[in-house]
Amino acid sequence: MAERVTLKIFDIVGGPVWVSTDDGQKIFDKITAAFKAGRSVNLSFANQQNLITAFLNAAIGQLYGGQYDEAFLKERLAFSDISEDDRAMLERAIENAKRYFANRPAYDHAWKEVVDEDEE
Amino acid sequence: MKVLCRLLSRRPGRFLMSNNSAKASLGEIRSNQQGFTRLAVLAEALNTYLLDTVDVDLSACTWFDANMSAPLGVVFAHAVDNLNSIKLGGLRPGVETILAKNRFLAGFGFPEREDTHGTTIPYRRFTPTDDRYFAAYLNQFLRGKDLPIMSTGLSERFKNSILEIFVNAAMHSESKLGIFACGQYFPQQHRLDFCVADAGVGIRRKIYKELGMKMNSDKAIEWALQEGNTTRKGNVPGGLGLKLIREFITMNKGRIQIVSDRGYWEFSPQGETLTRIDTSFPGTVINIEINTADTSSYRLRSESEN
Repeated sequence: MAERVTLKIFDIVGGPVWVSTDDGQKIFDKITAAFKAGRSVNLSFANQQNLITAFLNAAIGQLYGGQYDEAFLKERLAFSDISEDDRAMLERAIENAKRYFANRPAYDHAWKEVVDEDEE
Repeated sequence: MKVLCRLLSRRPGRFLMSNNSAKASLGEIRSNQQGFTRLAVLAEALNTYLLDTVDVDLSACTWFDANMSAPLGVVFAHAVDNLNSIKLGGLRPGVETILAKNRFLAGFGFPEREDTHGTTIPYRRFTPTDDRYFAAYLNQFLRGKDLPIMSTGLSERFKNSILEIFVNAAMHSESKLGIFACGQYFPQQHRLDFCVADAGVGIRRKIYKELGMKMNSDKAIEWALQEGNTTRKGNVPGGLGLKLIREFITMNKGRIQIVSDRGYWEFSPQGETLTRIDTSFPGTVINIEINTADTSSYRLRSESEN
């Protein structure tokens, strides 16, 4: 069992406003650094004031891009101090990420078929 | 000098110092297709001027939805970026009161007025990196003592929706002139409108630039609304923010409008409209209107529970 390290979003971002992709990237970088060091991660959502999906997509969603499989993430990544609403948003972000990475080429291809440009 | 050359190259017919009288006008502005079209027409008229003092006549403007100050801010910012000065005239007392209370007129030499009814979320201009400042602005003004008492769930979902829109604009619009925001509570109708507008490249041009796909402005909005579609590069998934906003607006029986370039999209209980307006708006605007009397529970659910 990998030793668990607690990462506090509040400390990494430097405040209670968690909205930008750049701040989400800081969380992603810390989580992957801990994984590389062979640790499990407990991600603490304590002291949150604002949280949106743009942040979660970068912080958590991109973990599902193929670098780690779901079983690994389930075993190595836990969340704490999180409200019911925030957990639901987090689950939506994870579901969206899985679907996004599974269907990415299909999304682009479908739209290449419907081009109808006549504006200059 | 470089800037001036760039500007002149865009307007080969204009003289540097014009003695002509530079004028433009604006009629009634409400948060609807006609209102956005009128702002686009004003932007087009102002775009013909360079290094001018432009008199903007508002005598035909009998009503101005205060939240529409955000896209008006975009229109004037483009004109000022072309080294023009804007002079506002003919303001009717009612319109002047609205625009003075929300501090839009402060930049045009008009005195501020106190918002005695507390129905205004003031007009502000942000830079794309101002996400924390923008969040603080929302936290402050959406909690105002005179704004309607909304359930915590409704208030949080509304705030999150606006934050998603701001972050999207900051990330995708390439707006060098900033991001403009303004809100207004209409107590008689139990409606709260909030508008975020950027002066950027527009969705259509962004899709072409990032993905090489050419499409009309209306199709471009439709593309952006589809789940999973994003112009973001790299390994960060996107396309969830607008989906959640749409779910929320549907539950709340509110309304959302997107204007970008010539594209116009509106979604409300009355139906969905996707069309093109005749004149290009120089940026992207998203207006959200919520029904503040709604007492539904706004607990977000995971998809498996839905």
